[in-house]
Amino acid sequence: MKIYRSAAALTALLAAAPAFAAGGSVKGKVTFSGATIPASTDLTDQLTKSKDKDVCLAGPKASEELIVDAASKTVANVFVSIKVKDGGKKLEVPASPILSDQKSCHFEPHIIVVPEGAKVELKNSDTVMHNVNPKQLKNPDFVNEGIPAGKSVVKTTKKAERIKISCDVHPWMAGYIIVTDTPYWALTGKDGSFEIGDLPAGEYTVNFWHETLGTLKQEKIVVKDGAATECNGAMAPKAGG
Amino acid sequence: MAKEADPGDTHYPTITLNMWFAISSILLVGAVFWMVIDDWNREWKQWQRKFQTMEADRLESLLKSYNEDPKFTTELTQINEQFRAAQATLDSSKGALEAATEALRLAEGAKYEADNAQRVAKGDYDWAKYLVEEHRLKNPGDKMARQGEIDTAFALAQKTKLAFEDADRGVEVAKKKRNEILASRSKAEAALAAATMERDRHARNLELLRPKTLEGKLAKGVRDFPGLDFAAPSLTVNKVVLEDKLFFDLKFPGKKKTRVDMCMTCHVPIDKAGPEYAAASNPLKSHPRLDMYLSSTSPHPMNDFGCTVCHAGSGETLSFVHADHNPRDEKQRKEWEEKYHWHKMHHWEQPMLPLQHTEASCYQCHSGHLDLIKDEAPRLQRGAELVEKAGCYGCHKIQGVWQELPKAGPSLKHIAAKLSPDWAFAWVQKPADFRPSTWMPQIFHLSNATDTTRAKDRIVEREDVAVNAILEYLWSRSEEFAVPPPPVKGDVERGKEAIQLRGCLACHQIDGLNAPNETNEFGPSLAGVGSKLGEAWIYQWVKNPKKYWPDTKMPDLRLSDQDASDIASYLASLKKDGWSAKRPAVDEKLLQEIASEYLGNQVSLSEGERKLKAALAAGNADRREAMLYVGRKFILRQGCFGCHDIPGFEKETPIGTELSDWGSKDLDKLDFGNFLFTHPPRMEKRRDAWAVGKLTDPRVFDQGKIKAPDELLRMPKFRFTEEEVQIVTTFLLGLVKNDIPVQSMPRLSESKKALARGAALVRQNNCAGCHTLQHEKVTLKHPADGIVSVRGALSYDEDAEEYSVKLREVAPSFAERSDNGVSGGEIGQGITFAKDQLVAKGAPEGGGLLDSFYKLAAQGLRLENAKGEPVTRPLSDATAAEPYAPPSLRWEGRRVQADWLYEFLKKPYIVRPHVPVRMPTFEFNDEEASSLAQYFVRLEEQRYPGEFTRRFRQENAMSRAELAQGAKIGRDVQDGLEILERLESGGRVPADVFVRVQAFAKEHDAKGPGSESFAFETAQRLPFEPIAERSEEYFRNRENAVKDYHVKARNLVGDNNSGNCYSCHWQDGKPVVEDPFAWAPDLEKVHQRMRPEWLRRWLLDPSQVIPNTKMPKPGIGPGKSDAIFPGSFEDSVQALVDYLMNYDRVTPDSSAQ
Repeated sequence: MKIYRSAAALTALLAAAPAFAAGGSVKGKVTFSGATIPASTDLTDQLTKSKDKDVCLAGPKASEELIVDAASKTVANVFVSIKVKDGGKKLEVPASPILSDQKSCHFEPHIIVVPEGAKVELKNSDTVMHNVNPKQLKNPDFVNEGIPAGKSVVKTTKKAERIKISCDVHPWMAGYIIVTDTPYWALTGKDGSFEIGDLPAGEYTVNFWHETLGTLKQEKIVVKDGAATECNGAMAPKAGG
Repeated sequence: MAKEADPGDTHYPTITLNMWFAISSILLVGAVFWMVIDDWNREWKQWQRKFQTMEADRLESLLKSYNEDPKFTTELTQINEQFRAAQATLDSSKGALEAATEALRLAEGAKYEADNAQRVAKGDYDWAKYLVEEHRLKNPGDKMARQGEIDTAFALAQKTKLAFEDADRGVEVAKKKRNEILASRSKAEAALAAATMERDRHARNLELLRPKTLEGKLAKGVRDFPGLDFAAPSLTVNKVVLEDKLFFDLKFPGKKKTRVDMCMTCHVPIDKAGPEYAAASNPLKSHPRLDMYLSSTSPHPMNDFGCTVCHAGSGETLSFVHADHNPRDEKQRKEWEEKYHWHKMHHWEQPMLPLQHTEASCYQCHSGHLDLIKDEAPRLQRGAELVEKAGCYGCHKIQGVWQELPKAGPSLKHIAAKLSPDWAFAWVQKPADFRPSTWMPQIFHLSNATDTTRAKDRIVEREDVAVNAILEYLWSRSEEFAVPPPPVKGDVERGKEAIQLRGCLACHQIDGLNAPNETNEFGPSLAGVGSKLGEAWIYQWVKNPKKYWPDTKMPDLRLSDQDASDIASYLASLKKDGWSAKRPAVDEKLLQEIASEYLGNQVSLSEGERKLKAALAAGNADRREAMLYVGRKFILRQGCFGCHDIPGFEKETPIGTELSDWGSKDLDKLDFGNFLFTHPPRMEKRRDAWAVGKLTDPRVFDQGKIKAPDELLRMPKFRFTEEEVQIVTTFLLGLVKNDIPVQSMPRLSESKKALARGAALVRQNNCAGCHTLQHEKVTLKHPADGIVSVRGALSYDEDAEEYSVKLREVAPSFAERSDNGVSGGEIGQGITFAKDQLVAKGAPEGGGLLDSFYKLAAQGLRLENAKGEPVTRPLSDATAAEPYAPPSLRWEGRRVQADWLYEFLKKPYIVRPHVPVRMPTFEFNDEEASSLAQYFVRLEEQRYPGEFTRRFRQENAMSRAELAQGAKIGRDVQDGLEILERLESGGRVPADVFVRVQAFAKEHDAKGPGSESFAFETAQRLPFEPIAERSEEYFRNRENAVKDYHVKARNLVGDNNSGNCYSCHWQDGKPVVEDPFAWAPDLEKVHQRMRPEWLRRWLLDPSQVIPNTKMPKPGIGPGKSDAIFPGSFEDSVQALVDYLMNYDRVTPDSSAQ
């Protein structure tokens, strides 16, 4: 969690410096708008029955695919992004790889956001074998690969795509690597809030994506220099799902 | 008194006579001119003139393109330049050339003289010999008399001969000298000729067709002048004479004549390749499939096959109408009538096949392997498939493979245990009411029964009596079949799940669970089946289908009692909406009437029948007896036993007309009834029109006919679609009487034969219901390459408005490109392209269960753990379900050993423990199992397609002849010698030589029983191991190269920190981990199953072999497993392969050493 945040903060800081006075920002909150908040899948049974239970039981015992605050109904892990066609800052590619760790049989962090072309370190911090099975179509470097205990492999991203990752040894494990082609993105925290700064003045579409709640588009969001435009998202489970 | 006629006088005045002579000679001259002109302007000559114009235009533009081609013109200028330079050099050394020419002339003169001298000397020598021989005969005393004369003459002959040889050499030297001077110019001359050869040839041809010179014009004018064009015209009749090849059957016994086809007289460029010919319109068009037909490199060259062998029609005629072209439809008929004054040739018995039926002719030679020519003759193959499905062969005898097929419908031997008579009555009356997709045809209440003109005959009522009586008979003869209730209680909901998980939906369709498609309509639809069958019967059936019906295609799925009972409960719960069936009461009076009628019609009666007749007449007949009698009569009339096993009808012969040579049946023998009047659009008396009419409404020829009820037509109605009717007609037209000489029949290689047999078995057992045979094709527009196709799973990204294909097969055609987001690549990679670039997306061939599994992924997939407890879990996405579905067989022949496949097919076991679908037991016989095993291996052109035969022979103690019969391997006589040589030098015999030697043995065995074959006996004694990696030699070499090689490799497999294959894979018949979702195949049997080459490729990167596989690339190699097995990733993978291929040899004990 720490590393991706610092990486993100660093990127934002570097890019923000020269255009500080001129840019505007979009900020808001994502809330759950469905009738009832679905309970996260309980993993205790699977964890206890696993042959690696000594290692795996130390991790979270519920699925991380949907995290909604019971009181405020805010949704965490929503990827918010804006595409800026003209002007704006460039996509910064960090030199060192961004870490996706496998710890106590879960992906830590659950989602990492990686600029196109950046490297990703897939690490196994456990004492048991894991593999990373990436569902990708545009990043051929990512193949389903076993990672021995304590080892890691480094892969390079190529094109924007949301890559679902899972481990076939421990079928409950799941996470995402989001490869982005825009520097204007944010990932909501537990309080559901986000802020995207340094935006040149103009009219934008704000895209929201959540792994179980799907996508949402807020069109015609006007950004003015030096001001923060508010843009909230309300997301509900897909019909039938 | 009348004046006597003067003998010199005529009856007519001379003047009148002269006038008539004048008129008739003018008429005669006119007729001659007319004849000449008419001949000059014949239809075929008009076409050939058109072709000449077309060809001349083509040559002109070709020549123009030569002159306009800058490359050609520069090249030509260069060569011309060289030629001029060479000529100039020659001109400068004119004196030398002249001297050399003079020298050559002199040398040639000298040679001539020397030649004369030697001839004279030789003659003198011969003369001297004669004189001396004569002298010695007359004077026998001196045997050596006058020897000196001979010696002198001989010496002179020798001398002159040598002088001639010298002179000859002198000529050669002089020639060489002169040529040296000429050399550079000759070379330039040759280059010039070579460069312009093509062009000049075209120019010469053009000069013939469209002369530019005066002589040319004159010559052509005279050659083609009306009346003179009999000598050497440019327009000629072209023909192919098939002497001793494919005869023309004159239909008189033993009368055959040589087939002569003149079609190419009008269809001039039919065998010529070229875009101009392909784009032209008929008849000046080339054949659309020159790769398959007519061209000399195709399998059917024009000179060997002609035209009418396939197209039929009259080959020896020269006009459109007389060739008996036949229009494909009404529209074309109208068009032809206007354009060519077309009419039917009524007296030609072999009309040209309308274009849509041409494939029919393939049947003449390819009847035994239609599956092999599926791509070339799709309609014919599909027609045969429909005939097989509809069971036409049950009533109509068809020569060939058809006679070996089992009956198409279920056995009715134990019908009372399965059905209620009420349900059966409704079913037999109109099967489609209960199941619209059924193959059971409708037999009763068809057009000739409901025809109002027959109302007085009460046909419909008679048929109701018939159905009742038939059922009475069937039930009375039904044999005992126990249907005990299931031993465990079933659960409907679990059954609904089980039916999706165990693979039932591969062959059966159930509304709400799967949409109908080609593979899941293989078996009957199960919609509403609970209104037909009871739970107990379903249980017994699914547990062991062959017990009830030994010939059923339904395999044994080896279901557990619980699964079977759940499935039975579920199916029994599927009731058909609004379905209620009640057998109506029998019209007793009509029954007795019918019985009396049948009895009255019979010539001789059996004892029982006589009694029945008497009882009926007296009005006190036993009703049941009458029912059974009538039932039996109607079963005989309708021929129910053609498709069903019915007790009491085992020896009856099928009721239909034999179809073996229906395609050449005389048109007069086909009863068209009033069809030609009632159906004017199909007025031509054509075989195909008859078949289409019959298949559309089998009773149509009864229309307007006055017939007794028993004389009415009885072929049942199969609900063929219009398209299917046409396709079956194509098949029927192919059933022609034609003895093709052996030398013209296709000679299939062993490999082709195996492929044909295997493809038929794959189809007949619906392998495609579960397994993918060919991956889905996606066609897209590539900005640079145009239309390209790749194979893989297509998905659409709504956000980006892009398509992506995850490649299931390598896409090499544009692998180098990465522009516009479209690039090729390896298996498992994605290629992405814009929305508007998609051209077409195809479905995969087979893999019918995948859709169900995609659905189950979202709902939750139910697996069972080792204790048999259910574990249900939804999967992350649809594609994650692929590893749990039956495997694709796209690469099966590369993946597995033929030996293993053979045994697996005979006795399947669970290879993939995580797959809930079971490979069923098909009870394949040896021939079927070995044909299928060979099929897959030969499809991939892998080694040892027949390797299983040896084990097979050992286990079954087969005779050599039997083995040779089954081996079917390519042969090479040299192998016998090679084996001997190798044995003598103490070497080992490679496996492929061994295999081929078995075929060598076959050759010897063919000489008759008892003829020993040394090669075969030798081969039997040899250690045989088709997998090199499993040979002891290989094993030892590895161990010698790396200490404890195999044990180290074993640790790599079992190590908890790196490879750790047992995190998923089963070990020695048991799971290591509890979660069935993580399970993977047992490593114990890999060495029996996999081919090492495949295993290595698989382990190097599994997702590049099967995308969406659960198997990760092994986490071994430098930085990962150095402590266990030092070496590169590739070496580590090879170690895994070597260990797995010798799994049974590397025991835990050897690790202790």
